[in-house]
Amino acid sequence: MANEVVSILIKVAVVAGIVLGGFWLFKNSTRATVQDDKSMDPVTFPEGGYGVNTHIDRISQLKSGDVVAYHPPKNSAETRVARVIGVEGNRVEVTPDAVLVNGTPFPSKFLTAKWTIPETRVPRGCVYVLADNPFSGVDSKQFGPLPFSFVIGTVKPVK
Amino acid sequence: MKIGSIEMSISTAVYGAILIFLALLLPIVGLSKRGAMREAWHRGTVLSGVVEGGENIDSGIEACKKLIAADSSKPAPRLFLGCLLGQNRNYKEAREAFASVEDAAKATPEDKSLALVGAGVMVCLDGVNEKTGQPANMPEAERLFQKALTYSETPDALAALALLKSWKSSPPGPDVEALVNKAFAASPAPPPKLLEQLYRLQGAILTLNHKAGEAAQAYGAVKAIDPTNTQTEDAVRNSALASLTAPGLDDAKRRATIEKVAAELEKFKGAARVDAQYAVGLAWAQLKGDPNYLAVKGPFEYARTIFRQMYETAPKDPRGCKSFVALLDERIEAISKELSVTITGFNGDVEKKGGSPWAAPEKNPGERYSKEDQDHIKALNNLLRDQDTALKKFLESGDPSKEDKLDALLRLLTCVRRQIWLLEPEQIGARDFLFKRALDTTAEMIPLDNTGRAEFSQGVLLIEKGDLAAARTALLAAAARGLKTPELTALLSQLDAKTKLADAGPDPRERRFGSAPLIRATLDTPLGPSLLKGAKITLNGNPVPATIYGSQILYVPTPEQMTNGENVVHIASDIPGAPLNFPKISFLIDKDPPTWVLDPPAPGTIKSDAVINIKLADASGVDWSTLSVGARGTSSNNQPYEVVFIRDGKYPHALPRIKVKTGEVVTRSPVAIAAGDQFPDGSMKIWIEVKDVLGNKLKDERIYQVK
Repeated sequence: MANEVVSILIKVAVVAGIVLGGFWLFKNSTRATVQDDKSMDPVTFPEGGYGVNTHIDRISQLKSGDVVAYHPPKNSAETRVARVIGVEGNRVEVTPDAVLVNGTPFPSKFLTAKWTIPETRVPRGCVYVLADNPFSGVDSKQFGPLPFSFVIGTVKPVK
Repeated sequence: MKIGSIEMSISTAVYGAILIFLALLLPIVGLSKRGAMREAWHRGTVLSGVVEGGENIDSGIEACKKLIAADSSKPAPRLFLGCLLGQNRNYKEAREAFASVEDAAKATPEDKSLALVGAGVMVCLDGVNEKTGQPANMPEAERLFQKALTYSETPDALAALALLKSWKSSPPGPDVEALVNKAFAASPAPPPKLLEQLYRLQGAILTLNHKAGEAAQAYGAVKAIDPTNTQTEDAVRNSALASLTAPGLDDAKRRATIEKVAAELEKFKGAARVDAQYAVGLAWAQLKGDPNYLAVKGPFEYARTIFRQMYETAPKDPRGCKSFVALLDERIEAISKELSVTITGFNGDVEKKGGSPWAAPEKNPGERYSKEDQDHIKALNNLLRDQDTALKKFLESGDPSKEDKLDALLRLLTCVRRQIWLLEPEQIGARDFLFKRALDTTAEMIPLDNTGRAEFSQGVLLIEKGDLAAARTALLAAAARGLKTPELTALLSQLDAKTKLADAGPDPRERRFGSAPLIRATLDTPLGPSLLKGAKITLNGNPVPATIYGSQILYVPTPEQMTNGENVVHIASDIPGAPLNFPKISFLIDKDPPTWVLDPPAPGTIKSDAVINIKLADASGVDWSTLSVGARGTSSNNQPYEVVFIRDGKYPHALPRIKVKTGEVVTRSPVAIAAGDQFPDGSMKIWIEVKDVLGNKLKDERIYQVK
């Protein structure tokens, strides 16, 4: 009888494991695939596109340096990729030589360009995103701070 | 084991127990988490309504209402409901939804503060002026924002109150600035639209405080938040332009800023280009301390060029022309100070010299001024011509307002008058042309001006021209329009005053005038000696070319023009407004030598002891010192004799019979002569030589028969 109970418990455990594993996989699955549009040069992504972690449901889950996929506000049919420079409340500034967040140089090698952004506070509910490649990409330069509702999820580049 | 009719194995029992456990667990969990589950169910609908708007708004409103009905203690559904109703322009209900957050049991002070801000915004939007964007119901909105601050000083409440106050008081006061600064310092950051407005307000405040650089940064932030905002681009540019003329900037920094903006002028489009040119021009003109201000590539030339471009590319904009003319005016003033001679309208108010018979001959045009002054006058003429061209172009090509047109005409009149004052006396044609232009200008000004200044200008011009009647009419018209200035009163008084003859000559009482008297008249002319230019002088009815020098009329007639005896001079003029018609003045011309009459009369017979009296007369007077009288004849024994009774006005010998001593001087008529003893019988000639004071000489003799 004991063996029978153990066997049943094992079966239940397996079923529970399958259910919980499936839930974990669901939570951490990549639901979208985005083609590389060179906007993040020289950062590289897996060939054939890259997956997006869409399970970002609070803005507080994002931080400076994250690479996110998003729908540009003026064209929500598109999907773009850029790097989060500042989150809500941060002060971001772009000079020809550096990108500053709260007065500190942002630790990423952006390609230099001549455009600048004066020190600007990132509004509540928004992130400030910039493509690493200033000559390619649609980012906050064009549409300003990105409301969180337009963020699809985070993207992991190849190390 | 058998339970009733059901055969239960151990595995059946275990599985059954698990199923019962799950059957109990799931409803319990479901019931305990039903609120969150409900929210999760409706969240998508609400967010779609907020983010995407359109048809999703109504669904979102319904979802919010369901959530509120399910749990009225939570503030979030009420806040979302307020937002969605606001998006639907249902401001009254939106305000109620926001206000109801205060009743939500689980609302935090921050929630209540945000809700009251939302309610205040809805109050403002309910009746907002669509054209100007001016909020409605500001007192009520302010009350709500103030109440929001009592709950929590959220950046939203601070920003909302600052923006509202900026509408109430323009320009924004220090309280608004303090609220803006506090809102920026508060955490978390305001939402995008509010933050954008906050930066815009900050930019405006900084611009007003002449912190153009920082204002440009603030406007840049607005642009960073909403890159599609083209108004902000203008604001950024305008702020940069304002920095060009900001006070307190040192010249080096100003020059660098000007050069930077000037290099980007092409980026300014449309009307903004003209604004930019204007600002750059003004900034260049401010660099007067630059040692190379007047150099070929110096600030003055840059300013001149850019103002010229401005009025040529946008002739309808009065700023270009005005600034150009004002810039040249400054230069004219500076050059005028360097003149070593006085020129009316530039560095003094001096009447030009007329031809004086006593002064040195007028110099040739090329010799009137020194080389330096000639250069200055040439430069002044060039500047005046540039001003003239600019003003004409503005008046012809532009479409100026009444005020701008009047202003331009006034400036043009000044410019033309200055050109007149720079003319040489020989340039009569040019003078007439410019006077006509000046008068045309004043005629154009009169319909535009109801203050009387245009008529006053016309009157002054007509006085300069010499048309006093028309000048008086124009000045009276100015007075009729209500102009009351000391200058107008003085001019009218002078025009009404009669010109007086202060002195005239030759004086009729004086009779000692020879063949070339100086005819003179000194006049008291209230409006200045220039009025005498039209005066005409006649001598004995014949016009003579008299010289007018200052307030004097002078003429030296030729002998042929005068008659012996009384000569009549008449000075008259038909000067409009101040006719001159003085009483005739006369003087005598004496061309005759003295006359003499002998007593006893000669020829005649006298006794040898006769006393002869000689009566002398002359219109201008006898010059007694020239009188010589003598007698000569032949005695009865044929002996010739000659005797001198008077020589050079003196008796050389004593004549006791008539009680004359030796050396006695003759001073009056009649003059007596007698023989010392007796005149010899026979024929005797009495001769006389005498001159009058004018040198007319009498030399004559008469014969007596002495018995």
